[in-house]
Amino acid sequence: MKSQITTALEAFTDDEDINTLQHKFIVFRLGREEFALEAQYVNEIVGMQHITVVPNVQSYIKGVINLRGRIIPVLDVRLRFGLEECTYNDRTCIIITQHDAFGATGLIVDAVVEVVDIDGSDISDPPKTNKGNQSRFLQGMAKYRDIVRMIVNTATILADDEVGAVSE
Amino acid sequence: MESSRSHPSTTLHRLPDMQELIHDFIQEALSGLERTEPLVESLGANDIEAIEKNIRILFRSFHSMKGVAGFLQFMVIQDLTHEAETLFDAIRETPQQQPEHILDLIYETFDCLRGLIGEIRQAMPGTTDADDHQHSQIIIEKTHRLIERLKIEHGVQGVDQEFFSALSSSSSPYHTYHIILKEHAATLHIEIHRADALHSVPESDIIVPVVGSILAILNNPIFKSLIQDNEEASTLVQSSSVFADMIVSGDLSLDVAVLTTLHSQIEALIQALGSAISLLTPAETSSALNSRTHPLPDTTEISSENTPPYEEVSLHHPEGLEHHRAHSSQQSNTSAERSEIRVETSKLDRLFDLVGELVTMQTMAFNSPDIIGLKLPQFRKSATMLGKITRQLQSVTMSMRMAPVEVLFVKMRRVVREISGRVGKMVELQMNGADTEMDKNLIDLMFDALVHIVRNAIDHGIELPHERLERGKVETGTITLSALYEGNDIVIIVRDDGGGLDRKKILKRATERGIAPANNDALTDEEVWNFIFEPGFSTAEVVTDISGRGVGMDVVRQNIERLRGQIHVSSRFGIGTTVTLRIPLTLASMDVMLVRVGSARYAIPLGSVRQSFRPRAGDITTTMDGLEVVRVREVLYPILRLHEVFAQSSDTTDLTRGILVIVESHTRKACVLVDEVIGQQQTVIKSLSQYIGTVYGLSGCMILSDGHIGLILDPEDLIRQAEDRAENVLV
Repeated sequence: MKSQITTALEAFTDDEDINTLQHKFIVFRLGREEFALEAQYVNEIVGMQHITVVPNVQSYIKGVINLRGRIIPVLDVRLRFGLEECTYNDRTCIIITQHDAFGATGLIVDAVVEVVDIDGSDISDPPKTNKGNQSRFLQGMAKYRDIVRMIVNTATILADDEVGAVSE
Repeated sequence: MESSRSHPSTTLHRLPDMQELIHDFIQEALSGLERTEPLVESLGANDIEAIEKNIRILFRSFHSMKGVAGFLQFMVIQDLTHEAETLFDAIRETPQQQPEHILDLIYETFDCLRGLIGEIRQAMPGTTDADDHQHSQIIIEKTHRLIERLKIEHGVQGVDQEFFSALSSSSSPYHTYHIILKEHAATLHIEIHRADALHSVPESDIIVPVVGSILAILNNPIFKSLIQDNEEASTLVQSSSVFADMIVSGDLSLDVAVLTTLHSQIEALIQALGSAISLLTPAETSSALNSRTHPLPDTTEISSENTPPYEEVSLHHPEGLEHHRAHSSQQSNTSAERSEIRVETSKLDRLFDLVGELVTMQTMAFNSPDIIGLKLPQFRKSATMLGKITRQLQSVTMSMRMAPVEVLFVKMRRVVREISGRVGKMVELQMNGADTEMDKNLIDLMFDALVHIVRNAIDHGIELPHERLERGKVETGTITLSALYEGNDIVIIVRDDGGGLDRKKILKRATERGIAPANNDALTDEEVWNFIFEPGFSTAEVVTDISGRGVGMDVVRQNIERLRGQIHVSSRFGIGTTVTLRIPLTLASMDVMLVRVGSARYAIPLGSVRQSFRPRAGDITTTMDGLEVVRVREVLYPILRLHEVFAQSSDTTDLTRGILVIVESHTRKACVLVDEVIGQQQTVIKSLSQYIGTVYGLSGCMILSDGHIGLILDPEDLIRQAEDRAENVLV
C-alpha cells in the first residue's frame, strides 16, 4: 500500500512543472468515502507524526508538528467535515499543503489512496443539498474510472469560517 | 502642475510592468534617501574634504532619483530633485561650511521627498487609498514653496560641466551627452549605454535608463523650442520618440543594433542642430568651461563624453565614522563605500528556513541507521567536509541580517541638531562602538525608541548654556551613544551629562497621580525612576512641542519589551542620566525555563521568571470565590493553574505537590502552577505558523531536543488573566 502511494507521489514531487500538476489529484479516504484534492496545493505526504496540542484554537486544529524544523499546523479533516473522530493508526497520513493565503498546513486523513489524472471536462458541479453546510467543502464531482469522487475545496477547508476565529 | 500621483503618460502605460518600475523607484528612492541623509550633517562641519566628497554622493543619489522620476512622469519629484541638485552643485563650487539654514533646507527636501514618495505609494493599486487628496495637495504645495526657496538659495546659475567631468572615468558602459541650457539654469545630460555594454548588462536593466534618457531630452520644453524651426531635427526627434515607444511597448527589443542606431540618431541630431550649438570634445568642454567667466548667452552646448555608471553606493560607513571591522579581507581600506544588493526579506527568511532544514537533514543523513557501524572512510571524509561547509553557510546566512548599529546612531545626529536648536541648548553627540553589529530588523525597530530617549535627554536632561556655566559645567552638553555586546544581548546606552532626574519632583508627581504611596521615603531610587515609564507621566512644568506630554517613555518601554529587551534608568541629580537598553542579539533566540504540565512542555522566557518553589499548605489561601493566593515573604500572589488555562490534564491538582513559578512583567507578578521544572536552555523561537497566528497565552513555540515542539508562554497574557480574576473577586 505504502509503496504504491510513494511511487504515485514521485510522479509529482519530482520537480514537475506546476502546469503538469493541473489535472493531478491526490485521492484520500475518510471512512468509506474517497475524496480528491488538487495536487498543485500539495507539497508532500507524510505518515503520522507526534502532534503538539495547541490550546485555545478551533477543535479541528489538532496542533502543530515539526517537519524537519518547520512548524506546521495540522487539521483533522474528519473533524472539519463534521465526521466522527477516530484514532490514528499507521495508515493515517498527513497531507502537507501549501496555499498562498494560509501558508503550509497539514491535513490529517485516514489514508492516501492514489494520485490520479482527472480531466477538467470530467468534473461537474457539486450537488446542491440542504443537508448541513458541509457542501461548501466540495468544489466538484468527478467521474473517474466509473467511480464518482468528490473534489474538495482546499481553500474552504483551511479558511476559518466559524464565528470566534482561531483565537483572540 | 502635475500631481505626484499623476497617471503615467500615455507613452508609458502600455509598459506591462509599470507598477513594478514604480515599486522599484519607491524602494530605491527611499533607500537612497536613507543612505544619504546622514551625510547632510557633514556639510555643516568645517571639513572641506568631507563636504566635497559627500556633496558628490548626494548629488549622484538625487540625480539618479531625478532621472527615474522624470521617466515615470513624477514631475514634482523631478523638479524638487532638480533644484536640490543645483543647490548641491553651488555648494560643490564653493565648498565651505554651510550655514544652518542651508542644512535645514536640505533636510526639508529629504522630508518632502519622503512625503511625495509616500503619496505615490498610497496611490499604488493594492494599497488602501485613503481619503488623503488634501494631504497630497499640502505636500505638493509645500514642495513648490521649497522649490522656490531652493531657487533663491542657489541663485539662477547653470550646472557646471566640470562637475560631471569630475565624476567621469574612462571604463564606463555609458556614452553621455551633456546639453547645457544655461539661460534656463537647466541641464540635460543623458547617459545612454554604449552598444557594447549589452555584453555585461542584461537588456532589462537598461530599458528604463535608456528610454528615460530619450524621453527626458525629448520632453524638455527648451529643447522642444530649439528644434521647432529645424525640420531635420524634428524628424530625427520624431523617429527617436517612436523608437522609445517601441522599446517601451516591447515591440522592439533593445539589442546592440538598436543601441547603435540610437546613438547615431542622437549624433545626427547634434549635427542637425549644428548651427545653433557647438559640439565640444571633453577636453574642450572642460577648458571652455574653466575659462568662462560669465554664462554664454543664448547658446546650448552639447558635449559628449564618458561618465561612470551611477553605481550603487552603500554608506554604512560615512565619512568621519569609519570604525571598520577588520573581519572582511575583501573590504578595501581606500573606500568607505561597499556595494550591496537589496533582497526581499521574505527571500532571506526562506533562505534561513532552508539552511535550517539543510542542517537538520544533514545530521539525519550522517546518523542514518543504514550506515551506523559501517567503516566508510571516504564517505566520512566527505561528510566531514560537507559538515564544515554547512556550518559556514549557516554562519554566513546569519550574518546577512546583521548591520552595524552605526546606521541607527548617525540618524541621531539630525535629532540632536534639530531639538537642541529648537530649545536653545548646545549639545554634542558622541558615539562608541558604532561598528557593533545587530539584526537589521532590530535596528529598524529600535529607531523610535532611541529618538524618544535622545529627545528626552536634550529637552529634560541637558541644561541651558547659562545654567551649565552656573553649575560649573562646560557650556556644551554631551550625549554619548554606546553599543556593546554582553552575553547574548546587545546593550545600547544613552548617557547625558545634564541635570539628572529629580527624585522629589518625580515623587511629587507620582503621588499626585496616585501611583506612588504617600509614605515614599522607603522607595529606592530605581523604583522612583520607574515612575517615568508610567503612561502619561511627565514632570515637565511646561509642555513643549518636543516632549513633556508624558507620552514617550511608556511607549519606549513597550517597544523595547516587544523585542524582549529591558530598559533601565540610572541617574544622579546634577550629574546626568543614563538609559540602558538591553536587547537579545537576534529576535530569534532567547533563554527559557522549560516546565512540564502533564505531557505538554512549555517554555517560560527566563527574563520573566523570578522564582520557582513548592508551596507549603500554610502559605496558600483560597478565598470564598475560589481565588487562590500564595504568600511569599509577606507578598500575596494570585495563582494561575496552567492546566486550567489550557484545559488539559496534569499530574497533580494539589498545589502543594506541584511547583509554582513566579512570573513578572512590568513589575506585576503572578504564580503559575506546573507539574515540574525541567531546566533552562537557549532556544530558537518559532512562530506557531501563519495559519494559527497568535494564540492567547502563547508567544510562539520551539523545537525541543527530542524533536517535539514546546510552546512558549506569554507571561504578560498570563499575568493579566490572573489579575482579571483577582479583580473580579476583590471588587
